[in-house]
Amino acid sequence: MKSKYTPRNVKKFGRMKSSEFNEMNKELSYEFYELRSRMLENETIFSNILNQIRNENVYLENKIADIENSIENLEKNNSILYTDFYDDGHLHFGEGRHWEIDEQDRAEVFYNYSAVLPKMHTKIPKNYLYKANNEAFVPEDINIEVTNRNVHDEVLEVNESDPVHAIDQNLNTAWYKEYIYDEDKNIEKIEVDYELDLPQTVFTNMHSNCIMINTYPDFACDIEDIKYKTITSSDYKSFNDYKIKTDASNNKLLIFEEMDVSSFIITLSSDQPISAEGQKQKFTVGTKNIAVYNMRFHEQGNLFVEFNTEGIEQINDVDIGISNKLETEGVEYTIYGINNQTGERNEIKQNEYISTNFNNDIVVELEITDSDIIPPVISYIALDYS
Amino acid sequence: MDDINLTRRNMRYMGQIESKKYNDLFNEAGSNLNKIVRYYKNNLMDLSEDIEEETSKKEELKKKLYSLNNKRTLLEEYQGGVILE
Repeated sequence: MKSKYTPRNVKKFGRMKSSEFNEMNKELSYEFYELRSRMLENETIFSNILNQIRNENVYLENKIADIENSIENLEKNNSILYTDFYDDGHLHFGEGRHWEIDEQDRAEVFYNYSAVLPKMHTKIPKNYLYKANNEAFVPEDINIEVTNRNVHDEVLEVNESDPVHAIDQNLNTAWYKEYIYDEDKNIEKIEVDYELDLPQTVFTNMHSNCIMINTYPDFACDIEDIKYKTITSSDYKSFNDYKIKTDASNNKLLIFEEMDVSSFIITLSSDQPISAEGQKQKFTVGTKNIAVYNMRFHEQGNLFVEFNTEGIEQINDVDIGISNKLETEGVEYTIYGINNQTGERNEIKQNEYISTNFNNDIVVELEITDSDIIPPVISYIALDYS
Repeated sequence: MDDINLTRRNMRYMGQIESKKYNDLFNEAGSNLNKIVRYYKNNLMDLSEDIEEETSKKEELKKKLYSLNNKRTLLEEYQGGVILE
């Protein structure tokens, strides 16, 4: 909104015509009128946004209640203590205790991706650059191609935002592609490929070992596959040794063996239509952000994962979810029971009875080592207990 | 209204009526401004605070949903006979 009012400077002992005062007053009245109109418009927009978020929250709460219900049934056959790492609720470094982990030995947690890694010491982007003021920007020498993979012919309407929004490093913007169908069409799933050629003329080398993907829209878009091509290869290969598939717009952080990657293809899908106006169904896929990096890690990173129980007898097994490897190589763990009264900790052995002083607060110390070609990315930990 | 040169002299001898008029005009502008500020405080500020609160609630719910979803998948795998590593 451009301001109509321009401040005047009246010199000391200078003269000013009353018409000029009248003009200033008119300008101010106009400004007030405009401001109030804008505010009324904004109130409507804000109310709509608020209603939309509230509806989404109701949807989420219902979905959570559904899942909790099915988990309750599943847990009848399993006694599992489980956590992943979307927040720090179960994680700590033993702060304030005599077994606190030194700053330099601590693991790194990426909460948006539920990922724990050895501490990172360098991170060089490979699909964007920084300006002098540290603002990220997309180099011109970057190619993006969006291809329909499986979208059905009888689509009524296709809408797409700028594909550069997927790589502009701004989580408030997103590239998305939406497909609108008649409600009576039986569309099970749509699939779209987002192909990204990295800007090879900009970087001195193309070594990379990490891709981070934040999908869009919430709850409705899945990552089906991530493929890559190196500078020397002509064909795409899939990271099919890794657990790629994500559901419900779960963000993805993938650490892979360092190589000269020239391009990626990310296959996104949606099997959950969002209702559209007038008896139509709308499927949307997209991403808020894709970032490619060459990361370097410290040799080792440790952290504690804490479980509060109502007193357990023994731990039968420990399942550590590693999202980028099939083996558990590079991950060691030790289980401790904490005495609530004294703060003392005792090591707990699997399949052995736990003394009652140490069976309420269970702490697992994870030791993650980057000794192999790829550091392990831990995404969850589950304890089977009785 | 005729133009008037608002010199100190004019203000002193001729301008008392005029200065009252401008005083009223600016008071009216101030009162309009107050109305707008009040409207912002009573309506838009509340709305934006509600949006902020609901958005942060949404982020928490999303994380909880992801986590529960992962937990359910894992439990289903266990039910399917997958052996713990």
